[in-house]
Amino acid sequence: MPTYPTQCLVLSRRDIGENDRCVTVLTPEFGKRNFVMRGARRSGSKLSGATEPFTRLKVLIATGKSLDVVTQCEITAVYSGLRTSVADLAAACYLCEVVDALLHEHDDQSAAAVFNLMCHAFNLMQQPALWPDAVINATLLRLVTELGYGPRYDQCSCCDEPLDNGPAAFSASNGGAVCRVCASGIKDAIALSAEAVSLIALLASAGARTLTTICPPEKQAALATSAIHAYVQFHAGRIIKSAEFLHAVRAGRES
Amino acid sequence: MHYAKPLARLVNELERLPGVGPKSAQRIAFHILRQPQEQSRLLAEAITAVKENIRFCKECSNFTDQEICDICSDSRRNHTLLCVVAETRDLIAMEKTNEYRGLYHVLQGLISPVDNVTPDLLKIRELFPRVVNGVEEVILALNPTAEGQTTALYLASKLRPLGVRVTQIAHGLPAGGDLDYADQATLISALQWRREIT
Ligand SMILES: [Zn+2]
Ligand SMILES: [Zn+2]
Repeated sequence: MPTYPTQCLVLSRRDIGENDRCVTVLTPEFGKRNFVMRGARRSGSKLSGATEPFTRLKVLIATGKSLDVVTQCEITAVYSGLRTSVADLAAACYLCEVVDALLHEHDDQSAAAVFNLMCHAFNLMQQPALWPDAVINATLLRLVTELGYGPRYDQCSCCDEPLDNGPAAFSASNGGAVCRVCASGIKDAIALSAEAVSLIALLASAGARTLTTICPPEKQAALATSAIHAYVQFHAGRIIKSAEFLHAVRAGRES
Repeated sequence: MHYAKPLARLVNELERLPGVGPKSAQRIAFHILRQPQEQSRLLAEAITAVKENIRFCKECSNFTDQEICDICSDSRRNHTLLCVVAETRDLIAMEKTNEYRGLYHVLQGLISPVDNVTPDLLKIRELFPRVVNGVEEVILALNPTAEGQTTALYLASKLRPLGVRVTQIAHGLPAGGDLDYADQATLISALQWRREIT
């Protein structure tokens, strides 16, 4: 069997057969892939820790007829700072689910950029931040931009007119900010203040320092977060299940 | 497939079982077909009986055929100590140690937002009235996984305000294990859970 080495970031895992696990990973060369880890469910297996979500690995893969099987594996990062609070775990879980939903297997055009984006996000999420959703929101915006459908902020994404009087809403189906005239006729338009749209634009380009120190007014922050969530969910084409739990944890009403 | 209809139905049902692929399902089905009538009747009855007679213990949510399970009604056990586990099979593993003499609480799963398993779907609500009723320590014995840790942290945040001592079992190297063979995640966790040697 031919083999190849790669790095990867574990997004999710599921049990298969008696003792095995299949992990869905991001690789910098081939984008999203599914790898089989034989025996990973046996107690004491060296592989079981490597199947944990938000773990970074160096692996050697044997390409079989239908499955890629991990033959050697070394954990290179565990992002243990993500595992110390329910909110951080919920956030990391949400990010993984979104990325999994947005990417298609063997769609490796922007693989390296997406891989680096996610590793960077997990590193940043371990640092204290004034607005914990800033890093996630920024990562999601960069992700959709990398995949070729980033939102527009400067012109109405519906009629292309410049947003001189400020945008009125955000529409996932139209591709970003929309003007007052267009907003009334768009079903999925989320009413947003000009400040909230500027906040989204800022998140899309801000550096690490800004992301950990930014502290927008609560209402603006919540609006931007829900607009970004609606945007990625629209492009993912399915409900992001872990969003509700994250939202509940953030709001302090998690059950 | 070219099975006779009743056989196809059995293979189909068996295939739904965890860890049973099409090959194993076929093998089990033909085994059942060949065994004496009496034997397969016993199997069918056992399956029906388990569904009819097993329910959750009113106290600990473990599977039992009584209102209150044997462990909860055992007065010789320490009723001030509560060990929280995810599944009945974890309870059985703890019992096999012969070390633990307190009570249990079985969550019947772990929080897993990606699988739509939120706290309200688990036996978490049932835990709190027990804790305020004379329990001094709650031991969280959950898997060292993202789901296990999410559940442990979640429970700890809900239990601490009740004035109870909340502890979590240590995560680290397996007995008889080799330090240089351990993965990074295990070593980090072993370091975090170190304690003073006396
Ligand atoms: Zn317009
Ligand atoms: Zn009981």
